[in-house]
Amino acid sequence: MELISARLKLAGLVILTAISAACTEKLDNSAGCPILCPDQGGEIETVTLDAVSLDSTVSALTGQGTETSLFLANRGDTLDSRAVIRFDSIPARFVKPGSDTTSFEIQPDSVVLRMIVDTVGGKIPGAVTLDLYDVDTNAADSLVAPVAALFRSDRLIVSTTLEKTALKDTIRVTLPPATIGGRKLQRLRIGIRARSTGSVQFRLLSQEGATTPTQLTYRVSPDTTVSKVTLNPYSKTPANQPIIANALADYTLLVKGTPVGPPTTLNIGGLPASRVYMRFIVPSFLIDSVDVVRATLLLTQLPNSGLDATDTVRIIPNVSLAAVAVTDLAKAAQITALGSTDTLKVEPGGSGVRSAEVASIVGIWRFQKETDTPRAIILVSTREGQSPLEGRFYSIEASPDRRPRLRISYSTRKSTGLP
Amino acid sequence: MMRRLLAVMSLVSSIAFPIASAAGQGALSTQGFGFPPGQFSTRVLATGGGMAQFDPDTPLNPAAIALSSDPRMFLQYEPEFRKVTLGSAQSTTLTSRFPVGAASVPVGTHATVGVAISTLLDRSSTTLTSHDQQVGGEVVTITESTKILGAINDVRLAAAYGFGPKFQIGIAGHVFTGQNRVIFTQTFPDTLNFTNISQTSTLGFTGFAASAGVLIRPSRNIGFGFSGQKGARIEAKTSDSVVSKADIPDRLSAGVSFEGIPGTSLSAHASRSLWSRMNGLGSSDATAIDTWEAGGGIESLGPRVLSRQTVLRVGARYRTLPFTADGNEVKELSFAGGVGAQFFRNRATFDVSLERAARSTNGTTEGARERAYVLSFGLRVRP
Repeated sequence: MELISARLKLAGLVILTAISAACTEKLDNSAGCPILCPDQGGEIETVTLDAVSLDSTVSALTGQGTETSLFLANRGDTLDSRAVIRFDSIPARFVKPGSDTTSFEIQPDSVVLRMIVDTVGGKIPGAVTLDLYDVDTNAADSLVAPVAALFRSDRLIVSTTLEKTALKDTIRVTLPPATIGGRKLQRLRIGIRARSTGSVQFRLLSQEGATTPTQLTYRVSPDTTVSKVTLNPYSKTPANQPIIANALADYTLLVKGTPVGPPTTLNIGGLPASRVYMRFIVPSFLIDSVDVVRATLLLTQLPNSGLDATDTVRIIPNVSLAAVAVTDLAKAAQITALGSTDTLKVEPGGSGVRSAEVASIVGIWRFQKETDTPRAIILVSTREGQSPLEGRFYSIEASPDRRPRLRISYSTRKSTGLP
Repeated sequence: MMRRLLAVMSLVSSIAFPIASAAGQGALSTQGFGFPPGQFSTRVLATGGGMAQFDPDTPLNPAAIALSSDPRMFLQYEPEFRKVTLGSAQSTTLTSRFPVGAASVPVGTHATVGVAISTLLDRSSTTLTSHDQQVGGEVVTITESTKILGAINDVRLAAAYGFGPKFQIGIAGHVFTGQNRVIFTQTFPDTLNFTNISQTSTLGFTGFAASAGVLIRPSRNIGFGFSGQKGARIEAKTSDSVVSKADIPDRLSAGVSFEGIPGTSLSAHASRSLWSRMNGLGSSDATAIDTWEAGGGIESLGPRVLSRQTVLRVGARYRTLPFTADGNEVKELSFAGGVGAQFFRNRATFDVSLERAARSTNGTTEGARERAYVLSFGLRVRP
């Protein structure tokens, strides 16, 4: 009897094991393919369309001071870009922290301007000298020439030379104490120009590109036990426009930009920066009725023999979100969303057909009503406003073989579920 | 520079939208609308289908429920372990099914009504393939996955009347319902430049049929069973739109049972199903053919274990499957065995069976073979 009971338990265990093992389905019959599973996927068709109905180079219109880095360049007659950093609230007195609430007149000492350098894509031939000028003026904030004119010897605050190896990460420039002492309850606006033995170009991180990359610090008395004062860039003008004023806490002062490309071409990048607006008319079935596998914007590049013709400019397609009510293309080109993570890399001096992948943008178009939001792509340089590099392409006014085209690959499969 | 141009659409290649079908699902047995488990209870499966006309839990002959004098419920679990071989390629699969559920209650002293749900065609399968194709001027490897879940099920409401131990009749109405969900994906190795495709389509079915059957036992030793089903219209719908129509298969079945040997029952059955009536429900790739099925087996008292009487069963069955593979008929030969015992003062019966099936074909798909082990567990209770 005990033997039978043991066998029954064993049989029960086997059955339970089989049942539990059989609870997880495994349905892969792939070994029978393709004979036993034909015509599963359908074909992928490719069409190339002259789908661009309107294209134009427009100003990047990035607001002054909104750039994520301050572009410093001194390249002779071809490019001159400087930086302005504003400290519009210089305190006159100091109150010690703690119970002693008495204040005393600030006697500035050990004044240091700290900045963060980004040399990626820079041109640094050797030791770099930074000239810091007092560029405070009552001229309108949007004007360049009155500010540029203040970069003169009688306004020079200090010059400091940094070896090439020292020009990385954080740099500190010591300023004369009088720079602060003479501006109590006033404002200090520092203009920065770089120079070197040859063409020089690099960037300083701005307030918009990093968290307080620039700071002005100084001691308030000879007593070293009293902590330092730290000032961040701050602008009081334009008055009553705090957003613009905040952007102008630090900004790039473009004194001489790159040559503007031909008006008949599509120009992306450069200084001042430009971008390209392209509007499309795409057969509705490609948007609504099929699964788009790949969409490629085919552009024919023409060489730009200007600055750094062999460097690489990266162009990223954005999707336009501007409604039909926005008739100004330059403004419409600002209302965008990132539509693709893939960048088109070109050398400004290059030529030939270039491909920008825009499948994700075509996917976004599916959710846009064309009568409300025109189907448009904005081509933007990833270093817009921070790099002189400019890619140039033929527009729809060029000969048919050079015009922008849209190549779309799509699946023809429409499944009903029927075998 | 800004000027509006008329867009000139230059279609470089033809634009067409063929309707894709998932005609084959990678196995011989899952072609077309899928594999027919047979609508057999565990007990019938173990006897090669021989008891099909006489078993109250097998929803083929409505007269069979008249044999039940007590209320009863039955549920069956049936995993199938399948190996598909094509040349040197092999796939092993596991499909879990609950192919039959049934309940019946006596009405008065001679009548019984019952409801049963059974799987007519199970289409569950997955295939994963890859191939190279030129897309946008570049040759890429495309990986395609087709996952199909679902079945067409037979919901039967039956009534039977027993005129005595020698003669019973039954009639039934059938509603065929269920879903096939097809999940198709196409993926590309470069997800930055290519967008993967995912399509899900759901096909719903509604169909009707009527069946009738009779059991005749001219003597204590022998019995005969006959049943038939007349199929009516079945429709396939997607989102309330009818995409195809056809007819539920007609069926004629006959069975014989011999109990002349004490403690032993020999049984056999044969069936003809007109599956071709389903042609048109799917695409032209899903061709159904009329099929024959025959089988037989022995059910005999086994040893007593723990004071419980066991029943042993063996059987064999041959049939053709309803859907062709690339136009070729698929044949199935199976052998089965099983055991049953009663528990809880004989108010519950637990049956187990194991069937080994070999499926093969000729013609263009001759190299394809299928071997399957079907485990079946049936639990019958009398509340």
